[in-house]
Amino acid sequence: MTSGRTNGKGAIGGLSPLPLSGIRVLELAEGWAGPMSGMWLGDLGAEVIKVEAIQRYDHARGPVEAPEGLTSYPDKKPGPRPYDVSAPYVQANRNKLAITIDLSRPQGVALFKRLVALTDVVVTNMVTGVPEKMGIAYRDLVKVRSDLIMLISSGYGATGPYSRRVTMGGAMDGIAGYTWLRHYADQTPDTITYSTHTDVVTGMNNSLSVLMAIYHRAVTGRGQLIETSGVEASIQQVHGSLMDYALNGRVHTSPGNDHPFMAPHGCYRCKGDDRWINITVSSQRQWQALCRTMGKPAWSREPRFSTQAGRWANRGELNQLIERWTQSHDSIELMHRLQKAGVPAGAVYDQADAAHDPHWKARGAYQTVVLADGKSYPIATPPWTMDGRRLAVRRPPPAFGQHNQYVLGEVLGLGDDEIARLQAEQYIGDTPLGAASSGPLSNRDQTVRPSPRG
Amino acid sequence: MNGALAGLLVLDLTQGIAGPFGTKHLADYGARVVKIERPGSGDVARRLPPFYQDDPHPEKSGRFLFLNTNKQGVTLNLKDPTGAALLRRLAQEADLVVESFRPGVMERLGLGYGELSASNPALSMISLSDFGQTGPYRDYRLTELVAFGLAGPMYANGSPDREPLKFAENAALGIAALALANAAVAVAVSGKLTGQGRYVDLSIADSMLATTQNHPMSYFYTGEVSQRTGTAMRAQFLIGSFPCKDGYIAIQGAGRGEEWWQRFFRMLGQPELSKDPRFCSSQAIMEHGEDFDAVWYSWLMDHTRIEIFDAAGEARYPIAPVYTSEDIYNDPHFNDRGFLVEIDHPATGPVRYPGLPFRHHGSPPDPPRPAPLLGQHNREVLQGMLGLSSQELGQLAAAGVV
Repeated sequence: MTSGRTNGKGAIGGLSPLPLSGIRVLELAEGWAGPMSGMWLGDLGAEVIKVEAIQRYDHARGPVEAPEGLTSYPDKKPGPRPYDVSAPYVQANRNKLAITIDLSRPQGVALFKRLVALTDVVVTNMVTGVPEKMGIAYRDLVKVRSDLIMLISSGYGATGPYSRRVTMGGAMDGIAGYTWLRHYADQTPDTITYSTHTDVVTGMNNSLSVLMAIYHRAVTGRGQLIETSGVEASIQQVHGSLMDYALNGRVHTSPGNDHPFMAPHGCYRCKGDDRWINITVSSQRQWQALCRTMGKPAWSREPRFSTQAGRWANRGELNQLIERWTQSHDSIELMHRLQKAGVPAGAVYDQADAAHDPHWKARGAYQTVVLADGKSYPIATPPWTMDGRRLAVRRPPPAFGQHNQYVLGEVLGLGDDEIARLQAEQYIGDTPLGAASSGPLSNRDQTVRPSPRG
Repeated sequence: MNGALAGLLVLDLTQGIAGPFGTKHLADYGARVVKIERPGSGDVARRLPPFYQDDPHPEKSGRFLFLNTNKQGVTLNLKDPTGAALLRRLAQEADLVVESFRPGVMERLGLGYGELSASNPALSMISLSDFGQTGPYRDYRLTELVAFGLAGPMYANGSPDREPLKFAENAALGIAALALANAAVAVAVSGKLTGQGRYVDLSIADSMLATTQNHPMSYFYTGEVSQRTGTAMRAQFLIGSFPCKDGYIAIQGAGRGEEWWQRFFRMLGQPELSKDPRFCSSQAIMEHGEDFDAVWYSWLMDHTRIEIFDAAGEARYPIAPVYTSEDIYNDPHFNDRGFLVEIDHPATGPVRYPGLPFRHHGSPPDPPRPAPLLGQHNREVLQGMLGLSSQELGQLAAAGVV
């Protein structure tokens, strides 16, 4: 499947309707969490229109002019329009249309409201208070669309002492309790790589909250305002340690790769450069299967290791013994041997391993699409298979302002002359203004190495 | 029942963490979720720590109690033909069945989607599994660690000279739960609007792979893969966690341009430093890393987590304190918002749980109810929904079906 062409009503010709077919979403969001909220809705069939401005655009697109050499761009070359293809943008914006409207001027807000009148859902992740200032708060928009569903997503929520504070995924990681729980057990929290896992959790909670409101509207006919807090959504994910505190007053420290009771449970070095395997054992049967596979059936009778409690108490020694075995084996071959013996084990995949894995190929986890630079690339698909068909990337991540003509012309019914005027007065456009970037070059400032398997 | 999903009836055959976490999202927002457990032992999560007062009693698992709020609990032996027949009758009334047996088990029990939906075409079903219902690894098994290593960003997380490191608790299972809940409500919407159900095949591995943290886009672009960096370049990029006077803070301020550096030095109470030639641009700061670290670290060590958090709030800079579970429970913001909710359960008494992650202003749910005791709602569901008599229920109990 290549680029998505619509039939003018948002539905895709030839495919059976998706669950959210006929639902239109306007997305005013930037970064990761906000755009992912819209992405999941688009994956499930909604027509998601990403609204940016030539004066201010989603910072995940990166700068207007980027240097060569960054892994965010095809062959590390940013090309003439780097903001159409930067990897952080591409990863969170499939299955969307993209338009521009300058919402800092009243005429832009008026135009936006005309679109809202034809829209089911508005998704934003602006800081609390900003939509009110711009005149696009729920109370403003519900006047033009009485059954509107509007999501206001923020880090700390719309109420409470921190509600107006800015945040990003890497900071949410700290206050949500993740940082405290995810470093090496023998080190301190300031030794780890940052993570934006909170953004992923926030985005999926956001789309879920909207889906529920769509259900409610289907039953009652009523729309509503939804308020989400990315931090609170993230806190839910570490409920194990929170419940232990609530029940017993106990404060957890970071276990590293250890498990509260499983042993062995760890990441072991394999043959080759920086190759690893995870092995986890939760039953006597799995333990015996592991011992047999290692060629050490006697270990399963070793008193120190014969019970789960014994293995856990002696896990340091056990881990060393296992690693002595794994380090002479290929991680992927060993995974298959252990899995076939009934032991939950998995190689630690780098991105190349994940991209070439035969299981995910068979599952349709990737699809080749034509991106905005006119070239074909593999891209990840949505995770769901419905009625035997993997949900698809129906529309590749759109170029900046790509759908101005379709949305303003066909959906809103503006004439060509009016669209030309909007363009002349810089309400709309397909090129960001100026060279200054509001955003990071890449959300993953990590070193990379060429893949031997590439 | 109130809440956005009021009126939605879900039969939940899942157990453990990922499935019940997914259906908890539905139950917490007003869906009627009937949780089907095996008679006798029940959900395996009843045997997972932490336990109230460390007593490994099946009604005292904090894990189970959290994951099963607002659900109704029914015991039913699905391997018994009578039990399977009762489930088929319940499925006539339901909007959605969610199951997490190993692939093929539901068909063997005579409970495949075709059979359940034959006389209820609006019924949808979601099968949640480790690797999916198809594909070469269909019968492989995973745990959180295995899923996170294969499908998550584990390879690039940690120090370059050490083993890759997982994230906190159950990142992959929690993501799968959210992917499950999203699909559940989506198919419920289309079932409601079109009268036509759907069958969803969802795996924990696919869910984790599909999150943007591990998209191989930069690999597809360049043939290069992300690697573990530890804390290299951390200070100059202002990313990650740093020590301070009384603990640690977390920050994500990387590469956001000159305006962000102005905010940064304003936060430090030294706005003039943004004009210092050593610190006037990202490039200059990179070149004067030691000078920069001296300013930054000495300010950190002079201030507490909360002082830094407040200064960042004033300067509009993304920093937060590194919290423990105790810090979260004692924080004024989460308490002011009512995020932590008290739930009374017979085995534990009233306990404060992490509450709802989002709020529907037009459809607030009812106050939360505790997780069900094993078989607590057998009578209410089997008599109320299926019209069984007390005598029939007694016979089923005696036969070990419920």
